[in-house]
Amino acid sequence: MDTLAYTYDIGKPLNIKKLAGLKYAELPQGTEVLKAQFGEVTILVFPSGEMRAFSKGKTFEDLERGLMPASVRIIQLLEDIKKSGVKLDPTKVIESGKRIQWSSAAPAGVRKTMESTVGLDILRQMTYAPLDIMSEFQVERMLVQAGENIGRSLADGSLKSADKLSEAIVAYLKANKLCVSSFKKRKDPSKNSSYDQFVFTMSESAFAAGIPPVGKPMCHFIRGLIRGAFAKFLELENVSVKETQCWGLGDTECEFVMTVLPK
Amino acid sequence: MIGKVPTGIDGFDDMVKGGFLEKRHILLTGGPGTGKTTFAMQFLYNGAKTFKEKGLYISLEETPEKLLSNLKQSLKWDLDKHIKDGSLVIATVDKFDWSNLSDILQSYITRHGVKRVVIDPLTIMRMNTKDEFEFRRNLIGLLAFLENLDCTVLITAELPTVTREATTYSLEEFIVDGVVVLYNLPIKNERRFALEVLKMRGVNHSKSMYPFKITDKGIVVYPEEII
Ligand SMILES: Nc1ncnc2c1ncn2[C@@H]1O[C@H](COP(=O)(O)OP(=O)(O)O)[C@@H](O)[C@H]1O
Ligand SMILES: [Mg+2]
Repeated sequence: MDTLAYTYDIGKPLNIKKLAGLKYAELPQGTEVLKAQFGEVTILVFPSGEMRAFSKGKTFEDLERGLMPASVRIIQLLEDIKKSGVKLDPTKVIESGKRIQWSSAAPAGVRKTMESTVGLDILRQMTYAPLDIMSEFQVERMLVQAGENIGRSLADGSLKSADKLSEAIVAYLKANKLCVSSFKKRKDPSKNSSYDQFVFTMSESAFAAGIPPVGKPMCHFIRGLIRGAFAKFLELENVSVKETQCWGLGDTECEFVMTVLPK
Repeated sequence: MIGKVPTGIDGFDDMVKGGFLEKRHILLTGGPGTGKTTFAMQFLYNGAKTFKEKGLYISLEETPEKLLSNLKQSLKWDLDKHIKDGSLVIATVDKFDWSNLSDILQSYITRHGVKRVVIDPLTIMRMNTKDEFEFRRNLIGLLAFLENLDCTVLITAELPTVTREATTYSLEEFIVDGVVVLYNLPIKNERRFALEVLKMRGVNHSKSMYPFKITDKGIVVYPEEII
């Protein structure tokens, strides 16, 4: 789903504190994000080098119409950033502009004092409370979509092998305190496939550890994450990831098997 | 006003006043060899070629490779061109796993802009699901989920019976928006293909059974003729 903002990439990290002196800009409390106000157009500059432009409370069409004036503001801001010693090409930055997606990760700096992880209770509620108001099928689809968005962002093109991708998955799961995991690679036993199977084993799953045996696997988010990562990395949608062990199935660990389906 | 999704199949679109309704689910059912696979692929092929809509074919009976080579034997369609440019995708899924079927559908529809989907044949999923309850739960869940997405879905199902009178109806017929039945009727010493639209919610469709032929250009329906 699109939001109403445009995002631009300056291409390098910025020292926001140094920029906070600009007369039209401020540093709102609890953030490390520079906020520049030009009439109706607001521009946020993140320490990561991401810049967002939007008109508060306007429809997307309003923003599109306002985009020409917005570009002028952005150029002005970029010139000022340049003056502060950051090397950049304002035209290139403007050209990088695109509509921002919900799925983009929260840029560093939006939460100044809190860590990037949130409590397990919250995650459990957000995962399981939807079961009270929509079908299990829908809830599973929702979690898979979220997991796939993240998985795809992990397969960023710089990874050279499926092993490296698997390492990145394991590292991501650990860094975000989702679970402790490891993987192994094996020949696909069912057929003469040219692809290996990857088997991920996980303990302490944030989604499943301690849940009752409900007769089915429940870590749909993680399944989606692995599937999305491999589908993007292999540029192939015919990827199956099956959760073969889970607390939901009565196991005390979770296991996922990634198989590339036959052509 | 709901948009129409023409099949591009000569004669058939007239029977349903221009095509299927957008975002609806149609069941295409018939005995073995009645032309279900041909009809379904033609829906996607015409979609890609004439209507510039991306199609996804989930092949559950044969591997995509085998399905393609079979179709190429008897039909003069340039399927390769559309497979190459991505406007037609033939994929398979883990036939024992509804989650995988849904994962793959979801990905193609939400990330690759697929507008026409074929699942051929659903019968395989039924055979591989442990009981009728599980099958129902999954099928109803899948169709409700697909309803929210921007695509039109054609599902085929294998019917054991071939006569019009002896047709029995199962869950599929009731929960889809439309049902098209294909027949291969014994007439004198030969067999003739015929089809009818059994139901099509929201469409004042033709209620008769019409003959059709399969040529190297695919299916052609003759709504002027009576079988
Ligand atoms: N180009 C063609 N000319 C004549 N008959 C054909 C042609 N292509 C396919 N057929 C016949 O049409 C029948 C239907 O095939 P198919 O679409 O695979 O049916 P189903 O999927 O219902 O089993 C097959 O028996 C085949 O012999
Ligand atoms: Mg068939």
